Amino acid sequence: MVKICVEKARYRYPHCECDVLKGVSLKLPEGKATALLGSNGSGKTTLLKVLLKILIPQEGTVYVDGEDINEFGRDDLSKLIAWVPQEEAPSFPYTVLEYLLMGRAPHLGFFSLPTKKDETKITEILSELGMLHLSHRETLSLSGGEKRLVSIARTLAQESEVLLLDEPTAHLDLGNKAKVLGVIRRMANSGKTVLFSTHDPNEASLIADNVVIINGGDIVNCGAPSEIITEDVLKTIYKTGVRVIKVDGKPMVELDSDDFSKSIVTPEVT
Amino acid sequence: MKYITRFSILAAVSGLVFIISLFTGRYSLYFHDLLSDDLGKCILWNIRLPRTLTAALLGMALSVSGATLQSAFKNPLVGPGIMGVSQGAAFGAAFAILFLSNYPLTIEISSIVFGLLALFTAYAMSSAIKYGGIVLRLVLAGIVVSALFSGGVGVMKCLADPLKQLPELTFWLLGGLSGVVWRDFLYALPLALWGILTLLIVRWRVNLLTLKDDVALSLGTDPRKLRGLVITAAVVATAAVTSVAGVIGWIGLIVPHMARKIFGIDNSRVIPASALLGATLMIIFDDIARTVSPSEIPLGVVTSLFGASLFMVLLSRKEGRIGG
Repeated sequence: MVKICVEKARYRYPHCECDVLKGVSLKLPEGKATALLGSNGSGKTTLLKVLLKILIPQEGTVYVDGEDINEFGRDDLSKLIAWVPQEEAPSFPYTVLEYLLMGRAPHLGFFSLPTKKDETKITEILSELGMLHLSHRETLSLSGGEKRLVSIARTLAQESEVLLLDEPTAHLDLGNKAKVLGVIRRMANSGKTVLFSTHDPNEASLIADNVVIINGGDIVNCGAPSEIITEDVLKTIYKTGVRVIKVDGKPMVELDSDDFSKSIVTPEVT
Repeated sequence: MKYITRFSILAAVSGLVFIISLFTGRYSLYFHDLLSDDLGKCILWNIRLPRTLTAALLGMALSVSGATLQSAFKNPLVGPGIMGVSQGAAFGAAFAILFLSNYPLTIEISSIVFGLLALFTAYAMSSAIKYGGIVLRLVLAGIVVSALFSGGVGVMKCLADPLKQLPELTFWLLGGLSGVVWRDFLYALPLALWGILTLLIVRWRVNLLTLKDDVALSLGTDPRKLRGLVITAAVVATAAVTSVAGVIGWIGLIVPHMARKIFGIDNSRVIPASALLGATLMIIFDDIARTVSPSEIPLGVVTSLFGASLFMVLLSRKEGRIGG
């Protein structure tokens, strides 16, 4: 079943001369993890913001559960879709517990305060993610990986059905990458619809059920990782030679060393 | 120590300071003499009680506004004057003293009107600026509006009659509560109370304004609307008390930092704590202003001296950090 459907979305930022999204159409199946692959500036973040109704496309429509996204109030939409942006540093040093309580905002009245029930919910989430020891740490003192996991935990507090993550593993070391990817996969396994953007085809191959490739503001390929992650497709997008090898049946990508050597230009000594 | 215990201690200290303030001043008042001392009763009821209540309201309004604005602007260094409101209100008072009448109600209405005018001008100007996020644009517009009204106040000083109008104008610009009576307190009360209560009611949601605006939106809160509401409430409260007490600096900046040291960062605790702490400190500062020298020291001078010193101490503490 399709959870989110985008039909011919066109978006142009104010004061810009060209469209960032050029009539994007896309379907996100319910309870699956979909990876959004694309080069820098291809429109990944813009597409995620359109799905969140943060940006309103000049043309086209987004449907959630078959209903036009514009029919949803901001409150209702935040109960359906949660978001982890690329960078998310609060301006003040909240504790992890205080910060995660903000994830309960969609479930609280405008004038209400979080209750003991909300705190218990947060404690359960932290315990589930093995992060209970961080609950009284200041968010600003966390490592990059911990910060990313805390952001994901905030979306769990939101109890939404759809999760959008913008480059969730950017700037993380291998260990933290593995932790974050593991949590994303677990969320998809638990029935959430997940869409995450990434620059790394290997991450898409490891945890995604589907891969969508966006290039120049348009969706150019869509399908299972084994069908999409191919040398020809990646070469077209990233403009560099790659080799795709199968590891445990999954396509894994590495830079083509011959092609890479050619790209190293030795400056002439004069 | 639990937060509820800290609140109880602070509330008890506030109550105690309030009572001590009623019995502090040039005329010696003693609790056990009150029934027999008619002049004492008159001073207590007509002078000290309205003045102490106004000091408490002033401290509350400035501190609650400061705490909220620091979150709304994601900047722990802003105070209630950030949108040019203090300078706007000061200009309004100066304008009234020079061209309307020096009747207190006229000065108060004029300063509230010009304080709000400063806010709307800053808002309008911020939408005309073509670069930067909404917070940067508002801060820039606030600086410009503040400078404009500050220049206007300078012009008013030049035009003022040096014997009649200038002393009154200068004292008002330095801030003070001398001569405050019930009428002044009651003029400022409705708007100040509306602003303070609004901010107290939405205090937890103010936390969302410290996140990126897009994240706040994804959490179901429109940051533009919420920011508009809390800035308006803070400005109205500030303009209302400024119209009675004149320009009082530093309290709105320093008190929220002190509250965060004791109660943490969460605005659901910081905003009420700032209200109590601001009221207590302002009463103490006003007691100092009216008792340490034979002639009254302007309250704005006392708050600047103590506020700047306290801020230096907070900044120089080893674990000290702006915002936390």
